[in-house]
Amino acid sequence: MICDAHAYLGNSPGWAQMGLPVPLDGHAWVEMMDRSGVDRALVAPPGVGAQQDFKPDMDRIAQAMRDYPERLFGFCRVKPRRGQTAIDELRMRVEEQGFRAIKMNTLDDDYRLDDRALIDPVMQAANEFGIVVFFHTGDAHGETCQPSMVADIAVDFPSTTFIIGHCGYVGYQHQTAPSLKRAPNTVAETAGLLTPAIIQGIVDEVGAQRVLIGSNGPNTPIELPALMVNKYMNKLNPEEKALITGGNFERILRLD
Amino acid sequence: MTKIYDAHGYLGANPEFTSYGLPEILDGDWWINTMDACGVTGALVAPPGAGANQDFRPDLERIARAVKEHPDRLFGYARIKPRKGPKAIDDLRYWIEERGLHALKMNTLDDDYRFDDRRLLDPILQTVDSLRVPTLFHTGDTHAQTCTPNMVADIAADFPNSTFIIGHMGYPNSDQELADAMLRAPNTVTESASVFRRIVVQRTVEAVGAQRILMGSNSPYSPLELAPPMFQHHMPALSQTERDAILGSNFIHLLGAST
Repeated sequence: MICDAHAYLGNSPGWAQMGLPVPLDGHAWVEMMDRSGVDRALVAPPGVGAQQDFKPDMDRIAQAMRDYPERLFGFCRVKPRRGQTAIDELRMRVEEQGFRAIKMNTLDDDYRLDDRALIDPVMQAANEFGIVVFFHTGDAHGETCQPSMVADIAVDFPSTTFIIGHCGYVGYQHQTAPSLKRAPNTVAETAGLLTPAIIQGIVDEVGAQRVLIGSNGPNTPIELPALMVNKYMNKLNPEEKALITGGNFERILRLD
Repeated sequence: MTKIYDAHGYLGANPEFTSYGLPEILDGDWWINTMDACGVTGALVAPPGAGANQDFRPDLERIARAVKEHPDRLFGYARIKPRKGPKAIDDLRYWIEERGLHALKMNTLDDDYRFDDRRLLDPILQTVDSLRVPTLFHTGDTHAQTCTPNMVADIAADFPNSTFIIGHMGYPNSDQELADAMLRAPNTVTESASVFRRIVVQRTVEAVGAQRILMGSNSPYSPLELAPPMFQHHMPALSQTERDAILGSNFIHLLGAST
């Protein structure tokens, strides 16, 4: 079972420029997964800081989950500065539409992951709703969203699972293994990271049960992460490869 | 059938390779076998390891041997530390003129410098210009502020007879300035090693044309097999001519008679 822990479904102008159909709906996504040998995907609305609070694309994701309940799973995406409105939106998406996780990116609303007065109400809601929390880390704005900040949050919400998105790459990947060690309720995902040595280094430190593949698809071709792990990370044994490419995804989203 | 060439790979020794199951030393035979398995005709390879000890000589020696054994499949980058001054220039001449390497690769991490330190770089660039070989500049990444596409364009404007490769398309962290830099310096091309974001490639094609983009793999830091499918299967807005150019014909044009 190949599962992609970080991808996008919806409408992004860049996708049309690349020659993809837009909006990219559940049907198109499942066709893409079938072509690529991917069984399941956790998809978020694209577009950092998107207008309309990501709602049109979250509606598309909700429809895709209804159409393909065994294949597609949804990230809710909210802007924390909306306060109670963001939490109400999150509650509706989880309780009424079956979203399984929340994705947070500091660029969405110009904030920092160490702004706990802003973040904690959303974290409390996620904890109450029993969903997984994904934080984008690293990149050009990595100073605002470091793996160590995720660990700080995670230790305060020990019942929730937190995903360190992109393993802190680029710029903060060195924080990922120490953060995973400090906060046992964290895992790391690999979207944008097609360099085996960095992933193997994290596995060596914390174990394969703490790493999930992500693709960033369709921004990046979705078959590449599993191809890399299964064919080109040969210090991993088959059980470890199975965890990273799918088993951890199913455990965290409680799909088994 | 399109011949596929990789404009940016590594041949030589790095203990890091063993961490994910590769041999510590990747030689010409490893590269030939890997290329055959991935449908790649040829590769331009550099010594691995930023700032490596011994001025990259053991790996340059391996590359020179591999190029000699496989002259139609493997092509070599020289790699030097510019702070070595005249010694670096002598080394560069030796590896190009006597050992048959085809290009120069520069990475600011190799010797803690910047591409806008022209007093340091210009003697090397003058040598490259006289040797008539292309130069790849690593751009982007966490040390991107030392090696931006615009800095390469500044250099290229001053050496209009040389070809400069903007490595990694400035990705990540400097890719936004890539197109403007290339438009400013017509004697630049770029290569895609470790760039798997389709929109970065597509925007560059639309801004400067496919004839100025080469496929790179960064292999073995990223598996060689991951690079060709980006252009073969995942860039539907490209025409077949553009695809062929990026995958191979631009490389052949760049290295000329060598290929």
